[in-house]
Amino acid sequence: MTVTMNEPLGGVSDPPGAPRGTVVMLVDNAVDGDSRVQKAARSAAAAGWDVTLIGVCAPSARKVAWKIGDAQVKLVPTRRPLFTHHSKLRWSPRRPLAYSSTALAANRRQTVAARAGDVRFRLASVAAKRRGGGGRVAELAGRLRLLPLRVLIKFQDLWVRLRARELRRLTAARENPKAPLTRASIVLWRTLRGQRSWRTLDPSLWDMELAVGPVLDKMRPDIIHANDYKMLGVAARAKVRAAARGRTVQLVWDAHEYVPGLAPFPGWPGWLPAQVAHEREYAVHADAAVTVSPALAELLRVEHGLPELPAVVMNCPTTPTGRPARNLRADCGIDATTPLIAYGGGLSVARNTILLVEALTDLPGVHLALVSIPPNGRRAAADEHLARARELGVADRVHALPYVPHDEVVTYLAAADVAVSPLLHLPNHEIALSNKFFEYAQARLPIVVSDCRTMAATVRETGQGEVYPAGDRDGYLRAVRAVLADPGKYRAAYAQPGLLDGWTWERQAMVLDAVYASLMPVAGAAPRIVAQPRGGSAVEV
Amino acid sequence: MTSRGRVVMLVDNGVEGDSRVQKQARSMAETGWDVTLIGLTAVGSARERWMVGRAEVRLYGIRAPLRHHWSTFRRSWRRPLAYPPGPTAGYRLQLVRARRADLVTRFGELATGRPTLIRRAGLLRSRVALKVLKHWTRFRHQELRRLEAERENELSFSHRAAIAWWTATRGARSWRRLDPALWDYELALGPIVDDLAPDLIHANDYRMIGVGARAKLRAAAHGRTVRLVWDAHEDVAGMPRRPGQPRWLPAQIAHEREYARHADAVVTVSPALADLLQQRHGLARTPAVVLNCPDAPDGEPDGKLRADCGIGPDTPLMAYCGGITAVRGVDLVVQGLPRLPGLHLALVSLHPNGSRAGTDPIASLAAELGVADRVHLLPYVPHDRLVPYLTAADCAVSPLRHLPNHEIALSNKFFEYSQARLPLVVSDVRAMAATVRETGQGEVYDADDVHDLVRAVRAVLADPAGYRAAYEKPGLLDGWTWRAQAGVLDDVYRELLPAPSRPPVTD
Repeated sequence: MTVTMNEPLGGVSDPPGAPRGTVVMLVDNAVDGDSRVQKAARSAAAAGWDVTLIGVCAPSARKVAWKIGDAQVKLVPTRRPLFTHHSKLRWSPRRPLAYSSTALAANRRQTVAARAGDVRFRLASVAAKRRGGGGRVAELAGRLRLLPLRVLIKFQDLWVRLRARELRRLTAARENPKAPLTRASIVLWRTLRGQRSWRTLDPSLWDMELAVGPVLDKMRPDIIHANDYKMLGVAARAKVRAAARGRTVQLVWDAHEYVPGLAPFPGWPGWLPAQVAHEREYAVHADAAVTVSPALAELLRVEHGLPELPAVVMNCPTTPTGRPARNLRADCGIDATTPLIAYGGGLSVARNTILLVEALTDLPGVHLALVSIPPNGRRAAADEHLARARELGVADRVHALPYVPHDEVVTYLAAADVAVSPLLHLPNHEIALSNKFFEYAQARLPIVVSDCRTMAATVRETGQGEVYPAGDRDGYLRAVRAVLADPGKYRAAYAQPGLLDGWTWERQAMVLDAVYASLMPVAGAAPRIVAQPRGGSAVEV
Repeated sequence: MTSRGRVVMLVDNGVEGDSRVQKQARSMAETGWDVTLIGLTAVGSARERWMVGRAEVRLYGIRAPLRHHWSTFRRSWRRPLAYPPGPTAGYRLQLVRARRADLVTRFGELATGRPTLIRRAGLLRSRVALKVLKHWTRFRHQELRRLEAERENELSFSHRAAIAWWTATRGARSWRRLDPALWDYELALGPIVDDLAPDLIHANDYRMIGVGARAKLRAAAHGRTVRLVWDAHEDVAGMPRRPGQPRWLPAQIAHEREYARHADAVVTVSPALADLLQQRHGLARTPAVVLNCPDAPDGEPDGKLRADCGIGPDTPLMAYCGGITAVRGVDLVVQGLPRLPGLHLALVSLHPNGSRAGTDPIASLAAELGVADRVHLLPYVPHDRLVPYLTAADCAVSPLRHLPNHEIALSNKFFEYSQARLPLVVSDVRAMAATVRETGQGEVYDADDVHDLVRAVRAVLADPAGYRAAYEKPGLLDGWTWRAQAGVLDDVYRELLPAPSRPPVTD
C-alpha cells in the first residue's frame, strides 16, 4: 500500500470551513445504486474535502442534483449516439441482399402480408357473390383475374423473406465472436492500433467524454477520483487538458474490477478488447491507484506495470447505526432455536444461489433466508428460486425477503446462524471481497464461502468460516454441517483484536483520505514532486 | 338472460379516454346483447381485459411497421450523399466531436511533453484531416435534412404526383398506396374479429370501417351473415391535414369511400353529419343520430364550483369545461372579460395528467389583460359529477372556432351544459348554433368577433330565466340523455337482427 493507516490526516489542523482541496469523483452510473461511491463521497466531504460526485444519466432524467452528507451529487445528461456499433449501420458485402435495418425489414414483411390479406379479401368477395346467387362463370372469371396478382405476391413474399433472413444472418455473424470475419477485424485493429484500438472497437466510450469532459473542465478540481474503467479515460484527458493550461490535477484511479476478466458484452465481440485497450492507454496517467482487494491490487500492478501496489479501500459497511425495523427470524416465521442460513444480495446463475435451495433437501430442519428482493420489487429471480424449492418440497423452509436499508443490514442479518457466499469461479469473483462478505463479518456470522481465491484465503486465515469447492454440493453440505455443529469456534475468530475494527468503512475511508492527502501540496512547503513519472512527465507543484 | 346476439365493437384507441364507446358498450350489454369491445394498446404492454358493466373490453397490442412509408427508411437518388435515414448521421456527428476531443488531448500531451517536430507535424496533419472530415460530415447530414424536408413538403412534386396518379388509377382503392399504415389495423385485429364470430360488428370511426367491412365479407364467403354498423364520429374530409404527411388525408377519404357501402346501417353523432354522410356516400337512408349525451344526472347540485372559484352566490359566473386548444376559442372569451366587469370565468380544464400546455397560455393572457383574478383554472371533475358541479354557474360558453368538424359537432359538453340547465353562449358553428336558435336556450355570436361575444354574454346575463325557461319544454332534456340515445342505437341493432325466437313486443 502506498499509505499506512496511522499516518496523520492532512486536514486535521485546518480550520473548519476551509476545504482541503476540490475533489471531483466520476462514476459511470446514476449513483443511486452504487454504495461504494456514495460512501466515498460522504466520508471525503466529512473529512473536509470539497467533494462533487459526477454521475451520468439519460437525457430525460428528472433528478439530477442532490446532496449526500456534505458532498454534492450531480448527474450529467448523456446522449449515447455511439452506442451502436458502426458496422451495424452499414451495408455489408458479407450479405449484400440484407435489408439495411430491422424496421425496413418489418415494413416490407408487413406490406406483403397486407397485400396477401387484400387478395384473400377479394377472393372472399368473389366467393360471397357466388353464394349470394352469382353465376359459376363469374366466379371463375373473378378467380382468374386475381391469379397473376397471387403469383406476383408469392414471389414478392419469397424475395422479402430472403432479404429479411439475410439481415438476420448478417446480424448474427456480426454478433458472433467466433465468426471468422468478425474475429479477423478485431485482431486487425488490435494489431494496427494497439491500445488505441478502442477508438474503433468501442467508440461509445467517447459518449462519456463528450458529456462529462466539459463539465469537468469547468470545475477546476485539484483531484479527480475516477471510478472504474470507463471514467478513467475521461479523467485522464481532463488532467492532460488542465496540464496544457498550466494547472495541475491529480488523478486517483479507483479500479473496481479486473477488466480483462469481465464477462464479454453479449452481441458485441469487440467490446471487451476495447475496454482492455482503453484502460491500458490511460492507466499511465493515474497519480495514485486505489482498488477493492489486495488480490486485485496485485493484478493491477502486474497488468499495468505500476511502480507500487495500489492502495486497498475495501467495500466495508459503515458501522451500523440504525436499529432495523424488522426482525429476520420474525420475517421467516421461525424461533431462535431453528437453524437459519442467510444470504444477502442479488440472485444469479454466476452466484450459484440455486445451490442454497437445492442443498436444503439434505439439511433437514435448516431454513434459508434470501434477502434478495430489490426495492423496485423485481422478484423474477426470487420466484424462480421459490419455484425450485416447491419442486423439491422445501418451500416451507425458503424465505425470499426484501432488502433492508444498508445501515440496518448488519444488525438484521445477525439473527442468522450461518451466512453463505456461493460465488462460482469467474476472474472477477477470484479477486472479490464483496460488500456482503464484510456485512456477514460485521454481523459476526460464521461464513461458508466457495473457494474463490481472495475470500477463501481470508476465511482460511481468520478462521471465521469454512471453504468449499465452488459449485460442489457435497462440499457445501459438509461446510454447512461443520459450521452448524460448532458455531462458537468460528464466531470466536471475530474476537481477534483489530479485525472487525479494520473492516469498517470509517477505517477504509482513512486509507482513501491518506491517498488524497499525499497528492496535495503541503501548504507553505517548497514545491515537491508528488507524481511519479509513469509514461508522462513529472508534474511540479 | 339469453343473448340477443353477439356484438363486436371496434375502436382505434385505448377505450379509457373514449366515453362514447364505453357508454355504447355498457348500455347495449344491458339491453341483452353479448358485447365485446375491442380496442388498441401499444405492443408489449400486457394484454388487457376488463368489464364495462356487462360488456367485456379487450385491448390488443398493435405492431405498426407500416406507420412510416418504406421510402423513409431508404436512401434516395435525389440526394445521393445524404446519410441513410436512422442513427447513422447522429453517430457520425458524435464521432467528429470525439475526434476533436481526442485531438485536444493529444495537443495537451504535446504541450506538457517534449514536442518533436515529427509529432507536431503528425498532429497538424490530423487537425487538417479532422477539419475536412467535419465539413464533409456536416454536409452529408445537411443533405439528409434537406431530403427529409423534401419528403415532408406537402407541395413537393413527388407527393402531388403520387396522390394524383394513385387517385386517378385506383380511385377508392388508392389508400393502399397512399397510407398502407391502415393495414396494420387489419393485420392486428382481422383474425381476432373472425375468431369471435360476431352477428354484428359495430365499427367506430373511419379507421375501423375497413376492419369491419373486410371481416363481414370474409364471413360471407364462409356462408355466415354478419351485420355491419358503421358509427361515424367525424367528417373525414373535414379533418385537419397531418403536417408533413400530405398523403394521409386523401388516403383516409378513399378508405372510407371504399368501405362505406358495406355498412348495413350507419350511425352518427349529429344531424348535420348525418346529412353530409348521406350525400357523400349516396346512402339510401339518413344515418341514425346517436348524440353524445351524458347519463341522466343524479346527485344534488353542489355549490363546490363557486367555492373552488372563491366567490359568493351573487357574483356572475360563466363556465367552460373541457380541454383548451387554439381552435376551441377560449382565448376569445378571456379577451372579452375586460369588457364584462365583475364576470368570473371558470375553466374546468386542468387535465389529470398534469399537462398545462393549453392552460398556461390562457393564464398568461388573462394576466396580461388584468383579469387574472376573475379567471379560475380548475381540475377536471369525474364525468358523473360534472352536471351537478356546473349547475352553480350562471351561464356556460362554447366558443369553438370555425372548422369543418366543429360545424357539424354537437359536443358532449353542449349536452352537459344543457343538463345543468345553463343559459348558453355559443359561437356560430353550424349545428350547435342551429340547435340553440331553435330551442332558445342561449345566444349565438360570431365565432371570431369579441364584440359580438360580449353582446351575447350580456344578453344572457340580463335575463337568465328567459333562457332557462327553454329547458322546460317537454321532452327536450329527456331526449338529451344517454338512455334515450341508447334506445336509438338499440333500435338500429334490432332492425338488423330481429329476434325471431322472442315473442313480439306488444306496446
